[in-house]
Amino acid sequence: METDLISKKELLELTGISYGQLYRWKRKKLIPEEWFIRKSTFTGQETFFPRDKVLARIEKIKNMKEDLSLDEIAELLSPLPIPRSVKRSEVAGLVSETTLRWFTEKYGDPEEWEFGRVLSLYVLDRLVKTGEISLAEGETLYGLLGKTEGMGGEKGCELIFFRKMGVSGFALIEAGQDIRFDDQVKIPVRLQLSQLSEELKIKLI
Amino acid sequence: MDHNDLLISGSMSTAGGTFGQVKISGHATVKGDLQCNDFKVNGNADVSGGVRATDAVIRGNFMADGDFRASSLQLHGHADIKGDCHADRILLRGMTKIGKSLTGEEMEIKGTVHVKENCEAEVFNIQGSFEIGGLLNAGKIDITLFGGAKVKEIGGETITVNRETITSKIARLIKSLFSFSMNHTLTADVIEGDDIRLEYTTASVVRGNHVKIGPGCEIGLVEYKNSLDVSPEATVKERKKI
Repeated sequence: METDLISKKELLELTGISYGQLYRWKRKKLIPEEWFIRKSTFTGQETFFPRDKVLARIEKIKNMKEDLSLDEIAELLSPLPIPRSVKRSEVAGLVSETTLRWFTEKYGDPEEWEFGRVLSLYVLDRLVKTGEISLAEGETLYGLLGKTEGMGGEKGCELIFFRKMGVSGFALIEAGQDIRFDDQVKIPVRLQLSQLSEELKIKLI
Repeated sequence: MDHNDLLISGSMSTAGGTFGQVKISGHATVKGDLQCNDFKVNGNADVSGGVRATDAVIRGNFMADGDFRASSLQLHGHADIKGDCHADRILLRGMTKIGKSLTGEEMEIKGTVHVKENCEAEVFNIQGSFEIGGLLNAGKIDITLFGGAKVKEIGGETITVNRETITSKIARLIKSLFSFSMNHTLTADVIEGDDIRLEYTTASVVRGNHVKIGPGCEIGLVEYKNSLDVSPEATVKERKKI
């Protein structure tokens, strides 16, 4: 799959940011290293970016820059968990009551929740609410998410929910990696965990 | 939790571990990873592993097989770190070799530094010579050349490159006696930044808002947004206003 690329020069023109800003954002890991794609052109080496991703990201940074420092934005955009714990009362506002009740009956109900745990529950709740998975499947999902600390490290990872002849399963792969299934496999859900983690972090500010 | 200190005087080989303070005077070989608050070396230290410390001050000869992480790091002498090196404040004096990337907030370097991959900081200040295999990315880059320097790419906000001018009579004398080649220049493929001021620099492409090309520069292409100033002692093949 060939992604649509944008040159660095065009990117700066379109977004109105300067070289200094771009490099600063790169340093702060607001723009991931793997989006800097080096290609040789007739003028020598040039840097390109995946067009849609980088434009959306820069737009987001520009919007958040008003209220937050670059370090705070970096924390939001990073797939790594935030170190602080989440209070029980906050969790109640993030996931639906049904899911929370089902969960606390099974796994207990502490006052302070780790971010990773809240995120797992948030992902689960999202899929249950849309009717894509059942609560029983959610339990399998929760078990899997609990095994991936930091949601796949710096790169983040992608969650795949698949069905084959009525049997369902989950898979986690490093973001951007290819995965192939046989033709009988249906994939009702494929989502970037980093996106949900970002969403959750923003809600927690 | 309180940890024991590791104090070595003389010549000794020891295992790694977690300590409060590590103080090496003499010659030490540490087999394994080392973690501590204060890390002080006077003499020789070889660590076959990584190092994590709060404050590290190393004088003499130092070698580490793995990564080095500290809040503040001072290296005086000869250091060879095979992995990544990261510290908020970095002070390098002497000859330093980094096998992977060098990252931090503030870097002050006098001497020679070799970085195999990238070098990133908010402030990068060097008087000396260097070689960086990847990208030098810093908010404020201040380079005073005391020797040759080579880097693949430079990117940042303000970038200044100049050469130490020898004015004293003694220095001139030494120069004439040893026919010192003071032909020290910086070589880079691409230099990009907001404010760029270069001297004695050879580069294929320079891009920026305000660009000043000083004496001794040889630039293939300059792309500028606001202003361009080229010294008569510089060559610029092509210039483009964007």
